[in-house]
Amino acid sequence: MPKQQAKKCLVCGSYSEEGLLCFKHRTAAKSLTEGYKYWKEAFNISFNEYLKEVRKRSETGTWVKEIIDYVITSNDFNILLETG
Amino acid sequence: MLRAGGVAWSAHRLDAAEVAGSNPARPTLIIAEKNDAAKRIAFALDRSYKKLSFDGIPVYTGLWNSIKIYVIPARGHLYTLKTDVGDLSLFPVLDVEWVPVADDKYVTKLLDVIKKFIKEASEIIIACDYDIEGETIGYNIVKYNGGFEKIVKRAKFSTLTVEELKQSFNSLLTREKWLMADAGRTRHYIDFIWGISLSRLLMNEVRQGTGKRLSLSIGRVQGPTLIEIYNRESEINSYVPKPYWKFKAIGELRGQEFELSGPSLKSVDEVERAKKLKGKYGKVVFFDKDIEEIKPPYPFNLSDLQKEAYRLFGIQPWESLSILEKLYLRALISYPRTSSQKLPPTINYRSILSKLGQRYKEAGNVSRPHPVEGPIDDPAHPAIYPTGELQPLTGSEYKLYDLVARRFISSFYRNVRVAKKYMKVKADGFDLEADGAAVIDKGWLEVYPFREIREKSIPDAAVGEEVLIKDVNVELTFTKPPSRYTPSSLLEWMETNEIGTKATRADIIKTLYKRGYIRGNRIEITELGFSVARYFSFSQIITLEMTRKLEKSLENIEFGKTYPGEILNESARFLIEELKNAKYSEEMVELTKKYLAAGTGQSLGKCPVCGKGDLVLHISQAGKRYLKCNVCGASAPLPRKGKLVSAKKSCSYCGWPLIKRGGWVFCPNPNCPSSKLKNA
Repeated sequence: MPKQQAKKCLVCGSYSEEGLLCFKHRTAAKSLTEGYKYWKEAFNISFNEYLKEVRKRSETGTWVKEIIDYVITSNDFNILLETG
Repeated sequence: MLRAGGVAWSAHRLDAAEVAGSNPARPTLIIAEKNDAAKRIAFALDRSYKKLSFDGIPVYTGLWNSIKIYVIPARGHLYTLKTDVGDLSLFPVLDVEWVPVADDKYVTKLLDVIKKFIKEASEIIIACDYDIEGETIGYNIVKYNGGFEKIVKRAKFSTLTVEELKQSFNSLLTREKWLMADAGRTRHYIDFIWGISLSRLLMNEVRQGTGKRLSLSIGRVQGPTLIEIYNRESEINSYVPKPYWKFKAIGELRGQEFELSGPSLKSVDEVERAKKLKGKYGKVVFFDKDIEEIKPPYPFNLSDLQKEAYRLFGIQPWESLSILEKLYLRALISYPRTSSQKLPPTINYRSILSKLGQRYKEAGNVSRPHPVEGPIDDPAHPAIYPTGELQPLTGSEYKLYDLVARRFISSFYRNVRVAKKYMKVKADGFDLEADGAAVIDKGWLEVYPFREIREKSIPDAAVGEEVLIKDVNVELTFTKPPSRYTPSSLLEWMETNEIGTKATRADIIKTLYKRGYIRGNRIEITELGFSVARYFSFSQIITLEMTRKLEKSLENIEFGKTYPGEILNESARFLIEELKNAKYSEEMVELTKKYLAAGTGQSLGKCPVCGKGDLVLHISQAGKRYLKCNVCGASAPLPRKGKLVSAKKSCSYCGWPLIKRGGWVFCPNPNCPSSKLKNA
């Protein structure tokens, strides 16, 4: 049976089982969208500001930082809806 | 021909016959697990024992109850499982048999000697460690050398002291069923078929996808452990911190200042409100004080001791097990592979405490007739305790012995007594709390000072009294991702989830390091480990539930609740079924390619042959690594395993770049004069 065209993650280029993100960045995107409500409650900041603040923190996970870099550079916020 | 200390085997038989002449009984053969144990057993049974040597195999001989005894040390497992299904693409592998450990001349000679002694003996005593592995070692030796035609007995002891060994050999156990050996052999069998089948599945997947033949392996217990590390890694890497503010205040009551803690604050508005408390009064709504009695910690079992050794001294779990085994073989402590937190009176508490008193003056100040014990029991052995024998020790051996001795003494000590206070204050809608603690009797901390009790002073109070909030301190903080596992916390996770055994858990973690799946003391998963774990977590072949269920079944064999055949069939059926359902994972192959790319293709230095190209790391179809110049094609073989990096120096003999693997620096040039010098 011919192999399907491999799908690549938009963030890292790795194989993605489904959608536009690989497992790692899909998990990170989910955490990122879920985390916004706590920052909004604490500082009443916009989503864009939230991304910048989270990017600065040392506690933030590597995959989260990678997807933030992609979103900020590409201005592709819709990718964060790819949370499986 | 076998020789005993220069005497030929036939001459030795004459010697045995002489003994038989003075006593009609034929000799007794005792099989010990290790040389040190054999020597101690021989000494305990006959202080004037002699050491013989048959072709380099030590045999200890003496007279016990007027019968000639021969004590032969094994060297761990002399038999291992093997399959003849050599084709790596075939799995599951269920056709397995026990064979002598291959390619080990010593084992071949040892088995030859044992076989001859078994033939000679009228009775055989298995005196290997009294646990599943020990019994499997002894049972296999007896079974595959015709020993079950003779009377076979079992010695049970938890220390190698003369007193206990004598007692043990005077009350030997007879066996109708060798349940521990059944459990051990079944565990080995299941681990083998799962390990080899899953590893072949993995290697085939990678080979199909990448065309590379990588030597990969995974085991029944390693699998879920690696998946747990992978899950933790995923949590850490996808972690988004949450902001909050820590809220502390300084209160004043009855002329005393003290610290109050408030709730975590979640917004800037709450922070502003909290800051306004400064200078206001709150009201005491609750106050209580009490004396807390803290009992001594339980006597050590193996995993508690491994965790404590890591916490206090950073000694890795597998290192502590190895040190503890040495202490056991020197008769300084009891058998360390135990789950028990109990110390039975038969070990003679008073005698041990009195002997320990020569080194630990606290041993004379104990106040309990019986030790404080934990809930976990082990039918084979008590908790780890010092035998009372004292020898000079240094380094890690001293540290671990000291820990065991102090823990043992402390279990007979009086409680630590702490005066505790607790106060709740309400101020402008905020609930504030204060805790006070003062040690009034150090109790067992005098002998086991490895616990800390934080003392804090707060005043007495009455409900309704006013507390002045003198200062308010709020600090912006962010939640932290879960901590990485350490070898010690991973061991604890395995124990809590009931996978592996007390004896194997530390080794399983060590194997994950050796296979390059994990690295560092604060454990990180490697790309390779990530891809393997991702594959198995995706395919659902190895699950924690399945592993735990098998562990339980294996335990049931030991207690005679089920039969090995039943478990073997169930396990094989399950394996066949699961392998049928295994899915080809393109993602794993992609990840493995990435790993290969990380290892291969890197330059390890300039080519000294053409002076132009780079010597690049390659991996062959057969999985062998080699260096090849990307200009002139000059090449050199490399070690198959281990991370290779440039040593950033050139060989002083031939000019090839030196390569580093761990702490070993070598020249890869096969024609380097330095290697000829070494071989000369």
